[in-house]
Amino acid sequence: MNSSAQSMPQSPKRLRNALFWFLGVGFIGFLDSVYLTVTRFIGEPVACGFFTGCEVVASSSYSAIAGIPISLFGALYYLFWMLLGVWYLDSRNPLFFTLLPLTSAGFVASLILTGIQLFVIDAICLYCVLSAASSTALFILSFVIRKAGSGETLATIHSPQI
Amino acid sequence: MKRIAIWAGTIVILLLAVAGMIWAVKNSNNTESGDLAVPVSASDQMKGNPESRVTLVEYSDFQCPACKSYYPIVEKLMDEYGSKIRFVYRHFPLPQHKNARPTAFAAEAAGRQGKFWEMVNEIFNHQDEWALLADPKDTLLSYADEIGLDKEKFLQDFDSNDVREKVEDDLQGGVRSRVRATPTFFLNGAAISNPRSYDEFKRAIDAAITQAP
Repeated sequence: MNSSAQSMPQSPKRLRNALFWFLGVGFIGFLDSVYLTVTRFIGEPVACGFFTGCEVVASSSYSAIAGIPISLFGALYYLFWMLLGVWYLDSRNPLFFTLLPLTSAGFVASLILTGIQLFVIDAICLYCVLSAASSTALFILSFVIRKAGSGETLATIHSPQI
Repeated sequence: MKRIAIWAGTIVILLLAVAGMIWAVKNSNNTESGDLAVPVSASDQMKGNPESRVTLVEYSDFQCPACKSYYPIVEKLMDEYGSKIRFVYRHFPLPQHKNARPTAFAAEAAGRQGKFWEMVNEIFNHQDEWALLADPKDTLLSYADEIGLDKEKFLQDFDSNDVREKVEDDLQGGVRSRVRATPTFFLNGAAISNPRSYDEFKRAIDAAITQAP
């Protein structure tokens, strides 16, 4: 960890920007999922303004697995990535890059959940779309970060600490 | 030191975000509703003093847990203020509560035999019993029996268009009054924040009685 100064990436600015976007998008996804989870636990309807699909989707049988709302899984998912992003900023541990392909799990889950909304429930929930967009953005950003950080990974791998 | 700042900052931001969200959701229904769009009329389910100048209107959903918790509070309020105010119950069945409509139909059907409030009492007091049923009709029929309704007429009214239209009209009126959550209370035509206790409710009513012409 002390070698972080020696192992700066070749494109540090790009990596830093991508990381901040990653954290920002993660935070938006987190807020969105927390909102859905909180409305569910408090028992308030989801405020969707002119859109009517929110309540239909948020109250459907597909909105929970074994009684646990999917939005809670979503919130934990975004929390995981945010904490991991901060952990990388703090530690520069290349394990972060190794874990990044796991964002594909969120991407696939979003595809499935959007599919269920479109073809099974036949209603679209604005907040779920926002979450799907967030996890898709995290997935795309994971490539950018991996590419921008490849210099750093190599540098760290070849550093004596490893 | 920098590390501690990073992690402490992250945790504080996340905790604030969650706390802020909980606060926003809890207060959302109080800021979104406006004025009562549909004035009280003879078609409303009303109790208390019909001549009173102070009117409390509640948009409620029989399957909503918060409405159930407010039910005894409103009952107590009516025991105390029954001669001074009038209370109107309007249906606002939320789409996520699939038994909210049938129960609203049952209450209206009971109302056709003059026992709307008795049915409301049965429905709220037994919410756990019917909330998750695939079809609550038989259970509702047993309540009708319990409060001494003509079962045949009850079933007829339950299925009637009149009753369905009444519930739908209430709902549409609520939408026009910008009701977003249940329960939403309107005191003399203005939406009020859901009082957090009986005393808070009492204070709001007292103030309305004092201000009434």
